[in-house]
Amino acid sequence: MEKLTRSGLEIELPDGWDGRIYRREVDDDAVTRRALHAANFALPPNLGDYAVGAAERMGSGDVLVVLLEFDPDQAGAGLFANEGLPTSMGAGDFSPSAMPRAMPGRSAAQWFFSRGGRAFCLYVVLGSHGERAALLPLVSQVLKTLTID
Amino acid sequence: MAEVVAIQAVAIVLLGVLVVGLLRSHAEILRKLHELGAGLDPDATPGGVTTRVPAPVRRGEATGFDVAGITPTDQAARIGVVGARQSTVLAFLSSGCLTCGGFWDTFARPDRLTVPGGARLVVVTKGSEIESPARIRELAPPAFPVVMSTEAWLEYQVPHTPYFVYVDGPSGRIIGEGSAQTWDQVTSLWSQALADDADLAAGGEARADRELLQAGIHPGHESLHPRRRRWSPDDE
Repeated sequence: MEKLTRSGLEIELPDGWDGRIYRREVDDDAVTRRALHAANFALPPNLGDYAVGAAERMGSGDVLVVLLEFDPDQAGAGLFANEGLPTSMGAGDFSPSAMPRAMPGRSAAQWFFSRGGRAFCLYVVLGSHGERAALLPLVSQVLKTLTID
Repeated sequence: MAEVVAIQAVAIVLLGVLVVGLLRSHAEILRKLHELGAGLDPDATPGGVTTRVPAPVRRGEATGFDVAGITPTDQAARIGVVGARQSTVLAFLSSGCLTCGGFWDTFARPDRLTVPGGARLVVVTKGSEIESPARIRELAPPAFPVVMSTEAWLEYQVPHTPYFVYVDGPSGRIIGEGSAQTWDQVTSLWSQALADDADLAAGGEARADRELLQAGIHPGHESLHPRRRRWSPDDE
């Protein structure tokens, strides 16, 4: 496991995983909004925040983890009312229709939450909806190491 | 008078010996530098003198490292090299060397680029303490990841630029490494290294066959195809 750290985000990546952490481009640059991409396949360069370009290249055994930070004014309320990373993540949370655009066979899920007065979205894409139960442990293994300051 | 002439003669001889010694020392330094690959970059030799392409270096059982650093767009990045499903070609380039300029241009046209073995191409420059992120951002090819990491240069013991390392993904083994002046030379370099690697693997299989034959185990021998044993309550 190798650590990737930046701007208060830290994650441990197993062998063969790619990862990136960066500041999102927002109109109001007074507040830092961070983004993290982690994948068990080769991440292409120049991805957008939701890493759609990476999702398009996924094979059936691939997983993609995206963490995006949103406007802190939204923290703790509405969509972001839940506090902390999701503790229970099941195969039933995933749906092929949760993909940003139709990508046959793939599956995705989103969780919105707040942490320390900041608002986040965790977005996970699996390379195969049919194999989601087998792929989910890969995601859980990595998310267990994620820390947010 | 004769004494003065004798002293001068001795001094001249001593100076001659000193000059010959210095010239030999200078030649030795130049020879060592040449062996180390210095002067490969035409920047160092005005006029762009063609230099030989070093043969691929094999590090035996050496394994690669993941590459961690900053992208030219200021992202913290980690590239999974060891344990990755695909192999990786790491291209160690700088913004300043003239030879590297050709590679930056080549990588900007990925439609014409073939990477041996279907490997992933990753460009690695030195970190922002040495290279300008703005300059690397100008040079960075959109199709390939670019990571700025002096640590990667140290870990892979990069002797000069440009330099290329081919790492087998699943095993993390360094298949070969070396330098070249054009991408065609690099692909030739790696095709040779990959062919050598395949030969080695084939040699290992042939050796195993020979040892099995010496032990009286021929193709089709029942020990090579054991029948599946049914579970029996007596096994408990």
